[in-house]
Amino acid sequence: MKTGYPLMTLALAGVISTTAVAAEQNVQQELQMLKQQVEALSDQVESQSKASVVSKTTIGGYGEMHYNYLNGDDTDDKKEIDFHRFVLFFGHEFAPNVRFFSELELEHAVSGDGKNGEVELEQAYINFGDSQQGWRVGLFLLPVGFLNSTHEPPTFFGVERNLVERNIIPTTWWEGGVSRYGHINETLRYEVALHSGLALSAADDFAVRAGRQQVSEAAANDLALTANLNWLAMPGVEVGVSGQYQLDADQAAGESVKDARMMEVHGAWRYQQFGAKALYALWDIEGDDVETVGADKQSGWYIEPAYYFNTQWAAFARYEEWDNSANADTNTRNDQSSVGVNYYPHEQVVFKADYQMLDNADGSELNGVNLGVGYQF
Amino acid sequence: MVLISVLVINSKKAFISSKRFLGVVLLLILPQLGWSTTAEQAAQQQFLQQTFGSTLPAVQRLWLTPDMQTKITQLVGAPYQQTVIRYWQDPQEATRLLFILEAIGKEDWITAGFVVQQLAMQNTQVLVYRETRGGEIQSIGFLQQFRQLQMRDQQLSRHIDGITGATLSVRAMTKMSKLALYFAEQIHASR
Repeated sequence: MKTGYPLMTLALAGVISTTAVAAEQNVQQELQMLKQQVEALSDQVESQSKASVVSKTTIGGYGEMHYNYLNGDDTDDKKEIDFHRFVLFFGHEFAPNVRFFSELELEHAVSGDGKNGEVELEQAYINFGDSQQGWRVGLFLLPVGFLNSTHEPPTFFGVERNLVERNIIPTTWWEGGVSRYGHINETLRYEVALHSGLALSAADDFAVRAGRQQVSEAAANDLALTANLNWLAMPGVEVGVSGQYQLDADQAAGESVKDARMMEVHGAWRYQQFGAKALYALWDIEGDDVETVGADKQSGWYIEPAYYFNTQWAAFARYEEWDNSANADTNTRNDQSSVGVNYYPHEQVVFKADYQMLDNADGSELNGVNLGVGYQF
Repeated sequence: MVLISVLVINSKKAFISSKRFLGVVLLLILPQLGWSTTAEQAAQQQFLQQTFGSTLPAVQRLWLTPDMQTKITQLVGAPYQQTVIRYWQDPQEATRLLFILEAIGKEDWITAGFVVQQLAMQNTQVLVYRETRGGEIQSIGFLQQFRQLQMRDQQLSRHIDGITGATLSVRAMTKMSKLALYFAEQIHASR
């Protein structure tokens, strides 16, 4: 009997160890299965959570409030606080290549009869295509200059937008029509648009800014064509040109205002902490009455060097000149110099401060400090 | 521009007869409506093959712990939208890792591929760009800036020059490259 115990023990040990190995294999297999199940589950959860983050309908926006403390000739002082722009973007994706975009803006906080502000529809179009090429049909921003297409406050220097793009381009400029965009090669993007045009009037000395009809029951006797080329020459260097031709710039028969041509060129350069932007824009407008007041040539340019201290602080200086009746006998040229800083507490929120020295052609001045806060999302 | 102006002057009448123009526009639009969503998978597959050849290594997963998400928030301002990162490791060179990451530009997702070798960026490619503006980030010139980038004191070792009008897309790419380098660091540390 005594000799049987070790044998039994051995046999038992063998059985136990075989069972243990089998059990461990089972555990391993179950672990493996469990791992696969967890991974499959995690993949599914991730794909669903991603789908829910990007809704078919998107909302975005930007806004800016300004404080101007400007001294002019006594009566022309400008000392005010204004919630200049409150903008909401709404978009909807019908299909990956059929999308709707819009931009609705409230200017100067209150709109209505006798109020300072207005509600404006600045974009509302259907986009067919993708980032490489496509069509836009509806009401869209014209691809001219820097600010007209991209004007969220964190993207530019200065509390107020520069006066050349405002008065000569004239930003913000939207029209109704059809636009085709695409890439000629990897670095060269084009856009060509056929759209409603300006209606210049003698009452405003044919200034282009006053001629925008804003696609509000806009006279469309004659259309306009805008073309734009943007070249990403190398990292940090961009050059853009655009041009417009309008068949009749007052939408009316007669010789007083005839066809109009616009040409604009702009460039942006950035190297390490240094940056600079420059832009030149020129209008050539035919017509007897336009020539009488010298508004057949309207032009302007600016240069804006900048220094980026880090991701939160940047400083700029800008010199700009513009003239909405450059061929007049008298001096009608305005200019402005500004220096200032942008501070980003968050990459989509900006505080701005600048000092401006505006010299109007009539000899009046408007100098002082501007402060602003802006955001985009 | 002079050329364009001349063209328009000559074809004044053609543009005014807008019915014919509309017909042409519709003809050009219609074929584009059949855009395929499998383009995303194809782009991903192509990037994998371009990096590893025809035999692809098995996919691996990095789980983002709450601590890691805290660190990610410090690096890029927000936690990553997923808790598991899928990645691929070069069978011949263990420090060479491929990540496919996603970030929102302005309104939609940008999918990009990153190859990191020995904690330095080796290759960066935009796989799917869904936004309508800012597509310039796909150009080779822009993407070359990411080569040999490393993380130093929670910052990229070199400044990435932006593109006007594509600020948010550039920012998304910069954030994703930071993440790829951070994930590579975590994978190395865990071994």
